[in-house]
Amino acid sequence: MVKKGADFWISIGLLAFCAFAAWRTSLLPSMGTGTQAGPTFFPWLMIGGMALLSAAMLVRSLVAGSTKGEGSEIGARTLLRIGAFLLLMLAYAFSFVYLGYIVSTVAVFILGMLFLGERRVIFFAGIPVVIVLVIYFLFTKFLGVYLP
Amino acid sequence: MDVLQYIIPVFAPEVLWVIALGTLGGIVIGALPGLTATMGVALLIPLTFGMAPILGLNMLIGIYIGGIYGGCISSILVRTPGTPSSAATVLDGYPLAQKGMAGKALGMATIASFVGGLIAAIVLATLAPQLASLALAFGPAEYFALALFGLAIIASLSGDLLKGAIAGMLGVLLSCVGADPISGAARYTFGITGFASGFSFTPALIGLFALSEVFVQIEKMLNERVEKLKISGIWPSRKDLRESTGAMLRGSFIGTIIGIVPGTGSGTASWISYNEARRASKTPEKFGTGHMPGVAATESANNAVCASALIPLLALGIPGDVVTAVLMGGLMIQGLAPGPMLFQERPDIIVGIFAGTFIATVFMFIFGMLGIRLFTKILSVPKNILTISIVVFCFIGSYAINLNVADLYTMIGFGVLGYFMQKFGFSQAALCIALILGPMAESNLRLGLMSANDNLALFFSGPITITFMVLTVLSLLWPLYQNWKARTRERSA
Repeated sequence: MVKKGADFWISIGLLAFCAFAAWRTSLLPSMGTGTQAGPTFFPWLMIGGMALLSAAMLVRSLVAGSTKGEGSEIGARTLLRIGAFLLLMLAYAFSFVYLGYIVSTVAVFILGMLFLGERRVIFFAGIPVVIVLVIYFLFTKFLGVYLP
Repeated sequence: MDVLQYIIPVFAPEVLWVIALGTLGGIVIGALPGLTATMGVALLIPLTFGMAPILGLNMLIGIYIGGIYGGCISSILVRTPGTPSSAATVLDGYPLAQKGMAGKALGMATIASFVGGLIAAIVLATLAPQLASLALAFGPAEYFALALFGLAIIASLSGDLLKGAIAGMLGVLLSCVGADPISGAARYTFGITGFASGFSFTPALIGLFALSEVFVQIEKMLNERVEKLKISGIWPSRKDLRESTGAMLRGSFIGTIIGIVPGTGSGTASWISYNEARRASKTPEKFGTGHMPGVAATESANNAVCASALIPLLALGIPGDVVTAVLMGGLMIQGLAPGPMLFQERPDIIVGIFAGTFIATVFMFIFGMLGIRLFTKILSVPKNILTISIVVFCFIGSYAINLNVADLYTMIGFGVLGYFMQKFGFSQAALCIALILGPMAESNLRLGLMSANDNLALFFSGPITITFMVLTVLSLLWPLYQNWKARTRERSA
């Protein structure tokens, strides 16, 4: 199903991405590899192709009119929710190495459960610690994988 | 005699145990709505990191086969497909459950999955070595044409050709990050050493298929109450079996053929099989009302894809579907490159995978028939705890492979990308397969040009190259033709 309103903005975003990629590609050094097709040959092919297809999508969204998309439009509330969870993920990635697996994961587990609407105190008492420790022992002792 | 020498180790207790564990885990993952077989394999690849290749790969194959089968459990019991490949099973499975025949519907799904899986496993063991011998003669031009065909078909099957092609090209462009395969020049690394060899494949897959699904679940997170249905009598009657044999066999062959075509998958196979079963039936009006052949058609087809999708992966290095694309990550972390050379260099792995596929299919049948009542309880697991546990697995899995923090950010980045792609109708499968086929297409195109002094005619000569090029053009034109036909029909109506 074509989501016209969203498609218009997505194609603009894709064209901007193509412009950015073209700029970065132009900065790459050309190296002699015994053929005209150097390290930038394939990226240029892809950037050109993507730009053409994005332009076609833009035209399609304009021709089809700018009616509101259906089904899976992302509302502001959802975007906020996803954004907040993304921040939690980034904080987890940052703290994973600095605080170590156990501390950072227990904290993220509790925050995540709260974020996802869990309010039963009994669940917070044991589940995060048990799951985090089981996973820790599974990876470190059983599979020999190092965790910080 | 050689083959026997490679088969015997697969029957070692630890291998059987790991296959059983993988299959059981796959069934649990598949049964849970929102957790797909793709996600299961992506998440559990890191678990196989420290295992011997035959153990690790067969565990992943067990998860794959179990996961695709497990999808039918929630399709039949709660009208929510556990995996996209079981979406068509809802049509007849749920009405059967409403009629009080949930157990028999699950029993039929298990038998059909077993038959489909077994037929495809036989085809895998027979056809893959032949295809691999043929592929030994492939040069850069043939490989480039094959990669191009894979990219074209995945774009054309993604529903919207334009968006599918954009997703594919984006995937190829993202695969260019890191060292150039020919000259070694750094491309788009932005000075970050963690990206010097490109985006790590497994973290990218985990992000694309597991973390993105977490975002989707967060969006949908509702306090869904699962209506528990009573299960009684799991063996379908003789009449049911007689009625469903045709649909089951037809589905098995449809699934096997579709699995071999690079880029297609079990979802496509089950819908085609369902439609064909209805078309061939003397009582098509019964389909959709709770008709056993409907369940048999979809489940035999989607499980047949599991084994047959391994054929192009193992013989040509081209994934047959999105799960085998993820499985390729499992082969790669074991230091194995799928393709014809694997048949020459590691016949033990190839034969081990063939045998493992058979064993996993048998385990799936045993667990399916014995554990139906137990698996229904899985549907009661609190979704929020499950979601956070998946997040933890995403992080450990992405970090454990290279112990590289950059991989965590890669996983998060691909997770966000996957979520938005899913929301706006861009195929994640196209992006994933393009990440694999991109380097193959690029290096073979450039090697071909080097050997032919930049003469493009090389890519339009030779029977295999021309065949793939023609198939590429046809697969791109087909959706356009279908669109045109639909519009003409609409106008004349």
